[in-house]
Amino acid sequence: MTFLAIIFFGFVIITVAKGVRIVPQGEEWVVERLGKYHNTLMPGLHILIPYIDKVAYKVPTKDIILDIPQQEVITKDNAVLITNAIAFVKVTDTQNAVYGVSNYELAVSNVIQTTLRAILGEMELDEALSSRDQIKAKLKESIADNVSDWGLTLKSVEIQDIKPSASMQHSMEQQAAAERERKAKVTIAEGDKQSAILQAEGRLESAKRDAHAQVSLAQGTASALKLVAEAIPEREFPAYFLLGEKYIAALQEMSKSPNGKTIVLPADILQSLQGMLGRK
Amino acid sequence: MDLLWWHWIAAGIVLVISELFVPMFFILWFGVGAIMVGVVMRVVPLSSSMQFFLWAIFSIAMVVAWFRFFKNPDKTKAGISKEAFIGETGLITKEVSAMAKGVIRFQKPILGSDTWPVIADETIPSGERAKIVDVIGQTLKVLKA
Repeated sequence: MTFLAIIFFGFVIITVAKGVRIVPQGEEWVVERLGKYHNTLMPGLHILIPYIDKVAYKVPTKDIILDIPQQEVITKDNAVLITNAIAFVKVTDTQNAVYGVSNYELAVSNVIQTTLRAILGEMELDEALSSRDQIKAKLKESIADNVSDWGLTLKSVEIQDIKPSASMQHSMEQQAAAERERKAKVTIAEGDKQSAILQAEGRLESAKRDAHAQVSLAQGTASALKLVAEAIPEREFPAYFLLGEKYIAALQEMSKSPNGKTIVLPADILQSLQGMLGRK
Repeated sequence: MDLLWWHWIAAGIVLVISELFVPMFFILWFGVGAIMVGVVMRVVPLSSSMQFFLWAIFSIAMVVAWFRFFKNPDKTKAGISKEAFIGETGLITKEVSAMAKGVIRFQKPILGSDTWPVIADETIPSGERAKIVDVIGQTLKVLKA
């Protein structure tokens, strides 16, 4: 009798243990009744019918972080890129996630991988390297149709690395270096050209001004001569006197000079001046 | 071996304490049931089979009572599949009809984006408000709010 009671008690323990289930926050459990889907247990305490109901799947409903493995992709212009991504996925429909696909994590990461390859395959290398946001948007759009049957929502896909393969990187660096070299040479040539132009302009300007100066000087001389010529006919003597004075002063200057030299002067200075001034 | 009343109480207390180490939330009831059996035996002597039977009955009764009177309200919707987003209202920015997808915009981002393609069973012109009733992959199902 005691033995039977103990057996009965054991049965009760097992029954209660199987019947009382606590689902932690962040998970949802799928219950099958005799092999068929029965319901989904939300976080909290639940009573199941022991021996008939079975917790078939425990699905995490927090965001899942999927690391999309690195892969080599060939772009439209036949360059090899190495790229990997990270995806944030959330189970939004537990039944579909469990029954719609056999392993949703594997499924999603494979879809992302192949789609990424397809998207990059339609792009030129430079475009692929510089337009991550565009790639992201396209990726999200293309995956959407696939994942909806699996009860998943793709929150975001981030391209972690896009880098050209080693040989590609080498030639890209060479290209960049050559480009800079070209720029440097062009800049130097530009400088030379500018300086030549500026110098020529300077010469032109100075010649112009010299000409102007000569013209002004000639004009000045002409007006001075005119004035002198106008003044002289009435009063010749003061002019002669001035000239004479200057003549003597010049002679004095010459005699002061330390190196002795012979100076020939016209003795008849007045006559010669008159000759210069066109007088008889 | 005969079990005395205090054996039951001691065993019950051990079971209750063991719940702390094995947080499965069902050992507790057997512990409480055992303590009750001990209390009953203090008053009325029972045969050993009757003791075990009573223990089982009390344990089950405790579980049932617990579920009857204990409500554990949800304090957060964080980490739940879609209940957290159902009922959120947004503004339709592109008309949605029973045949064509539309676009909705939310004030705060939902599931990592503030604009979503939507489907609906009715026609909702742009500029109207709508609330989420279901999340289907990358599209939301909405109703006129």
